[in-house]
Amino acid sequence: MKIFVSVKMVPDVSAPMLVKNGELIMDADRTVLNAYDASAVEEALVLKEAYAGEVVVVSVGPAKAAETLRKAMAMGADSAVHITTENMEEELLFDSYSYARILAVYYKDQYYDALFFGKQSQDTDAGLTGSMVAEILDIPYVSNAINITREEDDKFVITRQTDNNQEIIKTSSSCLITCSNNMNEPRIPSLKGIIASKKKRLQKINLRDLHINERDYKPQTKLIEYKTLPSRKAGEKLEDDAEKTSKMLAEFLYQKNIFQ
Amino acid sequence: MILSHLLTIHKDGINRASAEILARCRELKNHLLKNSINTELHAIICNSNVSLWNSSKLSNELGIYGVDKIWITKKGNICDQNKALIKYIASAQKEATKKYNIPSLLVMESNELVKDILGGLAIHINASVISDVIKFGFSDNNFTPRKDKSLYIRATRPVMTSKALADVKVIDKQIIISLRPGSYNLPDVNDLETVPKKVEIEYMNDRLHSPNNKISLKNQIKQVINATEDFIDLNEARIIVAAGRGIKDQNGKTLIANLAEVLNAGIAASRALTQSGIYDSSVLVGQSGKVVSPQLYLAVGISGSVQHISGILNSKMIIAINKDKNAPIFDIADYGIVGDLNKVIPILIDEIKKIKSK
Ligand SMILES: Cc1cc2nc3c(=O)[nH]c(=O)nc-3n(C[C@H](O)[C@H](O)[C@H](O)COP(=O)(O)OP(=O)(O)OC[C@H]3O[C@@H](n4cnc5c(N)ncnc54)[C@H](O)[C@@H]3O)c2cc1C
Ligand SMILES: Nc1ncnc2c1ncn2[C@@H]1O[C@H](COP(=O)(O)O)[C@@H](O)[C@H]1O
Repeated sequence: MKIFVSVKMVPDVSAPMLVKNGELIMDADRTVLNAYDASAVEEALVLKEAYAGEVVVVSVGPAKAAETLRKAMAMGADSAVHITTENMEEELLFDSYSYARILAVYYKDQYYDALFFGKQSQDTDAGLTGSMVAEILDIPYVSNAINITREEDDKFVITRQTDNNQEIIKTSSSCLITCSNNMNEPRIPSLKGIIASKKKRLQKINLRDLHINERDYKPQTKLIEYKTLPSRKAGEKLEDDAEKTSKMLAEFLYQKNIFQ
Repeated sequence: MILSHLLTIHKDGINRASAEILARCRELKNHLLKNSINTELHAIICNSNVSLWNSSKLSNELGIYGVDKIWITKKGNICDQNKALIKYIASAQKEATKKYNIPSLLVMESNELVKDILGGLAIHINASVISDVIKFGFSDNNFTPRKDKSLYIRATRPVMTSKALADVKVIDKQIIISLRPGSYNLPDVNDLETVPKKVEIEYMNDRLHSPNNKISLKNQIKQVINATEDFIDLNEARIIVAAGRGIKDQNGKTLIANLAEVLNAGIAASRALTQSGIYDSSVLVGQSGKVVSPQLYLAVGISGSVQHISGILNSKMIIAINKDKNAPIFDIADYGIVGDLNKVIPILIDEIKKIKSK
């Protein structure tokens, strides 16, 4: 069984940041493996351990994205493919559409049982790339998976979270699945894993060598500016014994017409 | 141009997020009409509740928003499949725009159903897409159509776990947007069209099943697990009581249930509790879960991580109960109680009951 997992390098959103003159200034230049993609890698590894096979991680990004791929290999992925976008000024402006077009061109020529994606990027929350790739490749897909198992007839059975319930869906092989972080706790790479990852194969492909016309991955969306959130001011804070504060809260709710 | 909305309806009315979207679309439509730009507002309905509505109810309920045309599939259930839903919406959009070859803007609610199809639909109909926005409009106030008949949409969306907002633009002939619930106010009833005009209704069944539109479905839904039978939909709830790690166990869960009952509130949970299995992941609120927009969000024993807060910023009022006076949730709460929830909640329930019985 061969599973490809698309992994994205994202800025560390937990770092302090500030918006100034329409620009976003991050305190540190730290980047991490997108949390949802870490869950996708974890799930692929669990399936590999159960059914044998191969897990390949794929990322489109600048030179630094190799670190993200190494991290996924340290977790246990067998090899990595890095589609490099070095020296491409537009790189910063790529959106989900651009990445989807590029990834689809790469996957089109691969053999796979499944393509795993994160359900969204932590930095943009866009949540588009997976279903775009599935549509471009015209393959079945299931989004927001919280559990994945494999059946004897080579089909996947996926539990997905919907708005108010969960669906159990059976889908054929050569499908695409987007993963929620609610399905597992991604393993922390062991020292052994980290050492082993250094010897694993990391294939570099220059985006220019991918036989894709620049016009075809031109971003749809353009960033105009960053802004600060309209602030929610901290309101009244009561610190007293429970008897008093509860009464005051009930009264407050009543004043605000909350009871109906 | 065509403005359209993938509409969600209940047995007795349209859902709140849809009403918010229609109100915004109507505003834009009137603005365009004032600028002498021929504009129609369409509604696309693919949920099976539509069979409970007859055409005069459809006309009345949607006419007040200035809806001109409704596209319906009677076979609501085929739309449970993402590929089928994409094809269905695509055919409605195509039919709607082909007559005049005019640009279109499709607005959908940012929920799981829509997240499932958004990217695929954009590819399918060759549209540009902006997901999860909280504000959108035309780039300038005096909208002037472009020569190539494309639209220029500017939208605001939260990024970096809602620590910042990004303004983005797209220019295209077809644009799709998904909008977070609670981003626009419900329309003022006095402001709606009082005498709804007759709305054109088109059933799409035949077209969908025509040979050149054949949908081969590779997914098979084996089972639907209902998280809870008797629940208040968090997307719609007026009041939400949300539980965090502070509630600890089943006893805490019972306290929350009792509080929700007296408030007639929906129940949500933080990831700490959906991970530990105390609550089902259907009620998770935050970056990985739902974005909610109630009148009141009452956070109990929740610290207020950025990932959680990112899902509640559209709430009208936030109240927090937490024993740690430095918990970050207090930074955004309109009203806060520092105290042990096990002491505060039982008294609070009694007090509410007292007030209500008066
Ligand atoms: C990519 C990613 C996505 C995530 N998505 C989400 C998401 O969608 N939703 C989400 O919720 N989290 C999400 N998280 C997790 C998030 O970072 C936090 O771990 C989580 O929200 C913490 O939940 P909590 O506030 O209930 O628990 P804690 O942070 O442990 O807080 C518990 C609080 O309860 C208080 N408390 C304890 N006992 C009492 C008592 N007796 N009375 C009163 N107060 C008490 C404590 O003072 C504390 O403030 C995500 C994380 C990542 C990395
Ligand atoms: N540059 C990229 N390289 C590899 N995978 C990506 C890239 N961008 C997005 N993805 C995948 O697409 C998912 C959703 O991305 P997004 O549409 O940005 O929310 C991510 O979780 C990744 O699995």
